[in-house]
Amino acid sequence: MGVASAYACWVVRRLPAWSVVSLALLALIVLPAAPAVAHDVGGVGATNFQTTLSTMTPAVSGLSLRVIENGSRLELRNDTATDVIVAGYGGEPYARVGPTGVFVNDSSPATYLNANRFSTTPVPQGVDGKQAPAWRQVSEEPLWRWHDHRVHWMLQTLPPAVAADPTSPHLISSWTVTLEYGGERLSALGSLTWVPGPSPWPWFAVVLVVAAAVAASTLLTRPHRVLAAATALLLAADLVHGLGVMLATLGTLPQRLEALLGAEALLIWPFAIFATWLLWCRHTRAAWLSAGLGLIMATTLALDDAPVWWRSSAPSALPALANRATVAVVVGLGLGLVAALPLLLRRHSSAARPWDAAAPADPGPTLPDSTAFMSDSADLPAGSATDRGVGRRQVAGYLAAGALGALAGTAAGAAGASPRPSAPGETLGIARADVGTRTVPFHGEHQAGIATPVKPQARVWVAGFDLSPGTKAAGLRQLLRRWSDAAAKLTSGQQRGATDDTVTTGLGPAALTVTVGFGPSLFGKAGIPESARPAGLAALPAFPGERLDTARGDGDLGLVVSADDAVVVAHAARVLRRLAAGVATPRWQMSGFNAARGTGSDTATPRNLMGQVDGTNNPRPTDPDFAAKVFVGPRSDPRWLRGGSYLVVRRIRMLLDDWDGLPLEEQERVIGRRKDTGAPLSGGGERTAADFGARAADGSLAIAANAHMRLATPAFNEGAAMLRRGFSYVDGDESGLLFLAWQADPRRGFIPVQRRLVEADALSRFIRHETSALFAMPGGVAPGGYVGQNLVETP
Amino acid sequence: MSDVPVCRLMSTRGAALLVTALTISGASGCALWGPEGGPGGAGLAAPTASAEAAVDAVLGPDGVQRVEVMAGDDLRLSPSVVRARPGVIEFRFRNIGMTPHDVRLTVTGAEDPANTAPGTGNLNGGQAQTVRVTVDRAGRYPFPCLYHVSSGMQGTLEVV
Repeated sequence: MGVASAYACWVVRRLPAWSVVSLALLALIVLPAAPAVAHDVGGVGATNFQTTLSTMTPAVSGLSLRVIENGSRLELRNDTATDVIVAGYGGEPYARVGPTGVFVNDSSPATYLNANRFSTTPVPQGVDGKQAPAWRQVSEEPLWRWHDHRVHWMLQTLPPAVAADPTSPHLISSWTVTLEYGGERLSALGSLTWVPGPSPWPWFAVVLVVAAAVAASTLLTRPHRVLAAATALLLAADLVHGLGVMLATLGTLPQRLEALLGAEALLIWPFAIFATWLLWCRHTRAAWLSAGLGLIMATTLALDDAPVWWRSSAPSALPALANRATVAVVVGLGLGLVAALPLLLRRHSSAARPWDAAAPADPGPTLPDSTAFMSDSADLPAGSATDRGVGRRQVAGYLAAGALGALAGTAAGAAGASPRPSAPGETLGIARADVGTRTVPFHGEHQAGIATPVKPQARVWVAGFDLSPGTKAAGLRQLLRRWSDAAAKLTSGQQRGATDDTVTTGLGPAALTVTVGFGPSLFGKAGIPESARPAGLAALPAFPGERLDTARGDGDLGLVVSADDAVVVAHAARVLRRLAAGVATPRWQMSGFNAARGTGSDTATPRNLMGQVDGTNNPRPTDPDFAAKVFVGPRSDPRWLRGGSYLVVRRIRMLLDDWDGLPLEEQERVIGRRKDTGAPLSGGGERTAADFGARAADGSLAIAANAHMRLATPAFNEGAAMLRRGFSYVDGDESGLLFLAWQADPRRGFIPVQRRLVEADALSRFIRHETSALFAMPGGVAPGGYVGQNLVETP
Repeated sequence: MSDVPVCRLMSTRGAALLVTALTISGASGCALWGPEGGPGGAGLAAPTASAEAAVDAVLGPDGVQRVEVMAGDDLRLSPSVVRARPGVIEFRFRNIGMTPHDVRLTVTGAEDPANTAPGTGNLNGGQAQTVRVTVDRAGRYPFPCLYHVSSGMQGTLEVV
């Protein structure tokens, strides 16, 4: 706060009042004339279309191909001493990239078609790719970027499958780009997919909170410096947003600068700096300028870039979350500054008549006066509380500060290390006593134990039952009623009034869940007609190479009992087994375990006995399409399965001696993730989206073509996804994974993924699928009802 | 193929927001957020009409079956399904838009049996090209546009 800044403020206070106002009006009139330039890179803005390069085979060291600019272009770099030739659409040579630079073939239609994103350039007469190549040098660098129309969506309408169901992921096409390298044919294989974006509503809330905070600041006696800060922050956020776009733009410096500045940034930003300065000097009329800037920046950015809130990818070097946040902050601050203007003018009535140039904004200050004025940091100089009560102003101040604090907290939380939100009612960072008392409601829309609790419990018992020969419909109904009644009591910690109650005396339910379902073989027995069997409930197909133990698989009925305590599980399993006596007998039973609650972090992904994190890419309850992936839809047939889910149970033995004999790097290559952090080998953290096209330093794929993670990812399985709730098992020398996977339809879940895995998965060497079962688990139970009521009571 | 995408409002929330956005911008229709739609799926183009009916190639007095297929800027072939009997089939491909196309058949050329992938070659806007093929076996033979097949530009020749 030197004399210089005080003098600067003194100068602006001398400015004629009308000059600032007319500057603001001028800005409003002139600036929108510059058309808003959508923040796109290579012709693509925020989009749900995603181009992925899966693999280039055979890999050549020093030769790298990657997808850039959201799939708008491909980039080929050739650091070897041999030329590589990219084939055009008819197989003709299109571009040659090598040590002497880049040449394009003027006899190839691709040379003209690839000039822009939508291939609108006509091809000269006679050019059809059949003539001898006419090479023309276009670059001296061994690097070429081109719009390859095989890898992106060219239409202004959506693919029919996407238009019919835009909230689900879709595989739109698989593409191949062929290269020729030293006489050898290289194939780059990839896919064009539709990846639905997140919900935009939280960002609308951020916009509202920010805008309200700025507007509320006008209730302070002297809000000018808050508004100055808001204007400066507006400028900073816009700058950060533009830098993100600039860094994602590949090209020359002028091209990148154009991406940063667009058409109007150089016009707007100086005004913003000027407005900040005026407001900092408590120049009330500068609110006109800041409001005008706020209006322009908020509307142009909202129109151009709001889609980043609800689309899965955007052309920005910033992380998606940060990019969305910069847009929300700019829009929120901009609208807040607009709202602040009338509020501010009402409170500073002399400024309400800005056209009255004779009315001074403030009493003409002397230099020392304004220095004193500048030096206060509090907004409430003592004795200035005149017309409104101090209490009200304080409340307003707290409101504004609170809103900004909440916003900062949200941002910090979002950027923090625990991105997985917990389900309502679940505590993070448990104390030991919490483990026993936790309950998961048995009644509800869906059966417990599928999506609740969010993290699988520590213990599980899974069993398949066969109906006793001659069981009638009534017998099955009674069994389901008895199981449901017992489950409701056990899971809520009530006594059943039986002599065995004491097994769990003093113990809580420990998040006990009981989930009941029906196997394909039930239909046709006990009065259940074969016609009631849903199409998805057919015995799983045999997968190549598997040798299953049928005595330990399948079954008429399936039961999953899970809790955080072994005694609780054992007791519940025994009670349910006894209740089945005479009606059904266990065909097979298996027990499994995870780390006990409280042993490790409650938010960490569990690890399996191979030492690998398992379940990172599981659908999360907060995902907008979680229910669609896991539960049978409310309008699906058959009716009795609505709200239910299909359970695939596989006992997967791990050949741990072979696995543990493998060096760490080999193990990581098999999975595609780092073993310690669980991060994809393409970089980042455990939850960073894998870049399947990324290359290691030696030019090979960072995530190998046969890595388990690549083959199992939904993007390469037409979006197939399932909720895996795995448990480990150890049985003497045998150990492995009890793989429990929940899905809305096994034909769009386990079956396609497993087909792909058995074809190529590098992990197959180290595991054996030993048993298999499939059950349809009906929807949830209302109090007084029982599991499967809609099936067994339907005439 | 004259379907104009119709704006669809998927939820009242989305609708309210769309209306607000439209008021602010003065823009109209689907153009605001592009084909991928606005928040909550507002403004998404409704799914276009279902599969088109097959068109029969017309048998001429010279024993050649003829059909005209249009290629447009909508990156679709119309008709997209052509039905014919085994024999010689003459395609007249006409580019009715501005975007170049190159339609390739996956059957044998009528003039040159060695040509197993006859096609139009590059077909600029306004141009037309005739391609004769011989098919002697029933089946479904796709004819993709080499430039735009990833965007679904592909027809099918059904020989019955």
